[in-house]
Order: sequence, then structure tokens, then C-alpha cells
Amino acid sequence: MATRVEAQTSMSVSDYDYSSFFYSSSDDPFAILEPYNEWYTRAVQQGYYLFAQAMSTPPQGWVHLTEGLHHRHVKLLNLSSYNYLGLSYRPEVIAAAKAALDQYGLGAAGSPILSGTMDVHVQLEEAIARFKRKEAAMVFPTGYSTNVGMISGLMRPGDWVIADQNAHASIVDGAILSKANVQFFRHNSPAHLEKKLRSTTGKKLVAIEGVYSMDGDVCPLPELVEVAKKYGARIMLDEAHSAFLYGEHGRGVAEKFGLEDEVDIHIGTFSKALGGQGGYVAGSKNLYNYLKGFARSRVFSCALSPVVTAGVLRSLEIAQAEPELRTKLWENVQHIRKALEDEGVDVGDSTSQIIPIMVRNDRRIFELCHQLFRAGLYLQPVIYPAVAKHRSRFRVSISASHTFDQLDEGVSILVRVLREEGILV
Amino acid sequence: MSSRNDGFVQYYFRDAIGGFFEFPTENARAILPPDLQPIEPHHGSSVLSVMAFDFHQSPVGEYGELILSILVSPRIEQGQPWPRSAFYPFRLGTTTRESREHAIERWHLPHYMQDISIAWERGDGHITIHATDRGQSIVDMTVTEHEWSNVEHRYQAFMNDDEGAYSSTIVMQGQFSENEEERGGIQIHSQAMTDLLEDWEVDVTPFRELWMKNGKQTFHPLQQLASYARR
Repeated sequence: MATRVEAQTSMSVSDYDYSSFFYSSSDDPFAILEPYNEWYTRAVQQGYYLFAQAMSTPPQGWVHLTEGLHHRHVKLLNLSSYNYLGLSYRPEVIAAAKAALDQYGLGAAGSPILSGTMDVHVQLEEAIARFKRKEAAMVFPTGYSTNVGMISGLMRPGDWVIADQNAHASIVDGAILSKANVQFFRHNSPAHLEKKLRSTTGKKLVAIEGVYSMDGDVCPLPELVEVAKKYGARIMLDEAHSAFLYGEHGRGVAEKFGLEDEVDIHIGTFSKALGGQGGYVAGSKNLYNYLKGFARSRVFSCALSPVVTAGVLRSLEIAQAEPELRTKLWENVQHIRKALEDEGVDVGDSTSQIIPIMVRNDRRIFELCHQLFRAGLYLQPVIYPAVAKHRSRFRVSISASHTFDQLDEGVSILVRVLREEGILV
Repeated sequence: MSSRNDGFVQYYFRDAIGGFFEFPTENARAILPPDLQPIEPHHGSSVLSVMAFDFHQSPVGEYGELILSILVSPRIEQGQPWPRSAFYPFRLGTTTRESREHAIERWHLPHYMQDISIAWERGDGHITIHATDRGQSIVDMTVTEHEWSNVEHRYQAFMNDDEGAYSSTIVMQGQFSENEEERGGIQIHSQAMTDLLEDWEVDVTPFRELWMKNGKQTFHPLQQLASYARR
């Protein structure tokens, strides 16, 4: 192998990441700010960490955004947004939100337990409970606060929260906030879950997801439920990326596996398939009443905006009334998956509308991202801490609103760039 | 903070190889002092670093060294170069008594107290070590090569013993190859040097492989710390 002689005595920004800047050696908490800013500024200048690039259009097939390196306005083919059913910009949804704006004004102006609950919130909670076939559902202002509030509201010091290793940060943070003992089992491994459960005593909550947001794979729910039940653990299933999509009626992975009653706590969000914002917990009325007092992320937040709430309510109605949206989504998923597999692209273990394009190189992924931008494709790099340090990837998100032509063009650009850069042989 | 040693100490090696392996954070925390935080590349997973050196010139002559460490969060100091990584070495084995005594006295590094043997197999694009103690296997590790470049990397090491807590900057210079191709591997044997890892779940494939050739390792003067949380 050729030896490349290159003096590298100065700092290479790619040698560092967020984990390098947790601690300073000073008593001043601000002492870390300047070194971090020095690294971050240089990283951005060199094309790393170009996140939060502002979009000026709805999250549809083609988007306009201002790219972060040269601040140019560009039009890109969008394979990055959730909006799985294309509902965020449906005229009926927009009309419902506009009507709510006229009726309620912009915000809820209060905590849901004080003055922030409006009749539209009650309607959405009741609609979700009916949809999920549960006694009750509680609406939270964000998906993050849903998991944080649910777990920290229910679990206590000395209890056990046992989560999948790929669980979302909101599950991890909720568990930490609860001060319960936290354990992680290997991703989608019932055997490893059993090993963890076997060594615990007391109250146990197993936290899993229907579809994992970074890998796009589905949890082996029957096997996990069997193990959890064997050890008397309660089961919390986060269907942020599977509710309204999976199952005959779209109720999620629990419906797909026929295990809706075996799952104790059903979590979901409104920001993915429904194209809005917020989250929900669905379960028993007793759970609802308890969380009303103890889910502090909800108690001490302003209620979800009635404008968004009304839009989400309309999205939910459409999702239920138009199963052909799910059909179109799965046709799209099948279409792009075949195209990617035909080209030999590594898509990990995904079987869902989330398709990781595995790069497995934390440093090169940003260069690839720029190449994709230049070629007209909007894909976001996903790196640590969203995924493990050595599991960097692009995440393709498919929507029912994509056309086959758009998907084919996206695959064409992606494959060309991956080949040019030597990722795809 | 006080300076314990004034001098910089240099060690020259033919090969230094390393692998980063995921292992459970609960196990990492059982080894680490409470105020050192393991780097978690994954929820519940920390990083075991296994390194081997083939020193040909040092204050204590020629010797081999095997180091088991945990990756921890570095301490960033304003106005100073940033360490590329920080380590907490929790068990070292050396091939000579002199090198062991030197490292314990000078750097407060925790050692396995027997002379070990390290056999190096240099292959085409890979290198393998077999570390043993009187015929009993300790660790077998293979690291593969990638693109080579001349580098100077700065690292931070944290040590502790009955007398206190310490840190040192370590600068590594040489021809360097690093990859995350997951082509290497490790077998950790049940043996006294690895007893802190017994029954633990260490990944057998390194997520990062490091290899430095014809290099120099420079230890900066040891710093005694009030605690790891403050310097």
C-alpha cells in the first residue's frame, strides 16, 4: 500500500467530535465554550456539521434551502423529511389549522393542567384513544417530552428501565431523569433482554420502538413481549415511526403483530406520519390519570398549539379515511428498496420507510454530503451521537407523496456519488 | 495541581497497534474512578482500548507492552492543544521487570506483575500479536492497515494509585494508519491479567483499528490532580 507522507502536526477537526468537549480542566463552566467554539467554527468552515440548513418550502419532493457552506439557495430532491404520508401540506390540513388560528389564536397560553387545555386538545386525545382502541390517550407538546414525561412520571429510584440499545434519546433521558436503574440490551435481541431481566428485581419497564429511527428495522415484538411477560416487566412501545403506517388499520407494529393488548403503554408522535408536531401516550384510564399529575414534561410545558392540534386532528382523520396513502407509501418503499438493492447499496437491516445508506465513516460522510448537494440530492448525514460513532449513514425517508420518477432520480444521484467516492464498488 | 516530574520521557517503537472494542458501560464504570466518564459510542456501551507496543529504545531498553484501557472524556484546557482521545489504563503487562518498575514508579500505571511475552506476526496488510504468560494465552489481536501518513497525535492519560490521581499528555509521532473497516479481531483469554474482563461482553471486532510504525512516544511531565474533576 502506498505511503502518503503528510505532516499532520496541526489539529485536524475530524479527529474530534462532540464527545471531545464534555469537560474542561477549569472550575469555570464557561471554560469549555471557547475551545468548543474554535473547533466548531473550523469544522463548519471545512464543511463538517452542516446541520439545520434552512428550508423555505414545505417538506415535499423538491425543496428550496440555503446550504450551509457557501450560503447558496439551492433546489434539491428531498429524501430527508419524515412526513411519511405527505400530510403536512395537504390543503385540508392547512385549512383546519387556519380555522383553528381564527378560532383560538396562535398558542394555548397555558399548561394543559391549568388554562392551556382547549376543546380541540380534548378532541384529539379522544380521537387518538379511539384510533388506538385504548381507554385514554394523553397529548404532549413534543415527541421528546412524551417519552421523558411518561418514563420519569412512572418509574422511580430503585426501579429498572431496560431499553433497546438503539432507543431514542428521549427514552434514555426519561430513564435517567426517573433515577431508576437503566440497562440496555443489544438491539432487537430477546436473548439479551432476558439476560438483563434475569438479573433484576422489583419494578421493571421494557422500552422498545416499533421501527427504529436510524436503522429503519422493525422490533421482534412477539419475542420481546414473551420475554418481558416472563419476568413480569411492563412494556412500553414507542411507535413514533410506525404508528399510522403499520398494521391493517395503521395502528402500528403492535397491530401488525396482533399484540395491541399485550403492550402496556403505546407511544407515538404526530410529527412523522401525520406531518405535524407533538406526541401521545395511549393506555389505560388509570395511566392517563396518573400521568396527568406526574408527567412533568407536560405539566410544566405550555400545551400544544391549538393550530397544530387542529391540523393533526385533520391529518389523523385523513390517515384513517385514506388507507391508499399507506398503500402508496409501501409501493414507494418497495420501489426504492429494489432500486438500491439492484445497485448493491448497503441499506443495513431496514425493512421500513426509513432506509439507512450505510457509510460507516464519520469523517468522509460530510464530503459525500456535499457531493450529493452539488448533484441535487438532499440527504442528511447521521453521525454520533444520533448513531454509534462508527455507524454513520445517510438516512433516506420515503413519503407517500414521492413519485417513482423522484425516487429513481434520487437513487441515480446517490449511486453515482457513492461510486465516484469509492463507497460503492 | 503540582508537577511531579520535570522531564519529558521518550520511547521509540517499531510497531504500536491498537483496537477499540465496545463493551458494557456498567463494566467500564466498575473499573473507572467515579469522576471519570467513559465515552459511550452507543447507549450502554463504552470503549475498551487494547494496545501493544514493540519498543526498541527507551530508558529501560527494549521491551514489549500490552495495555488495557478505557476511553474517557478528555479534559480540555484553554490555550492548550486538545487531546485526540483520553484513556484510563487499568492493566498493563510488560515483557521485562525493569520496564514495569519504571512505569509504576514514574507514571503510576497499574501493572500485571509477571513478565509477559508478546509475539508479533507481521503479515501482508495486517499485524497480529499473541500475548502470553508462561505459555498461557492472554490476548490475541489482529489489526489491519489502511492509508498511511506521518502524524503527530496528542493523547491524555489518567492514572491513579494509593497516592493519588494523575494525568499525563502523551504525544505519538510516526507513520500512522487508522481505519473503521472492521477487519481486525481480538480474542481475550480468561487469565489473571484480564480478570477484570472475565465474563464480560467485549465485542470481538474492533470498530477502530490503529497502527503506528517507526514511531516515538513522548510522555509529558506527570501532573498530580486534586481529583479528576479538577486540575
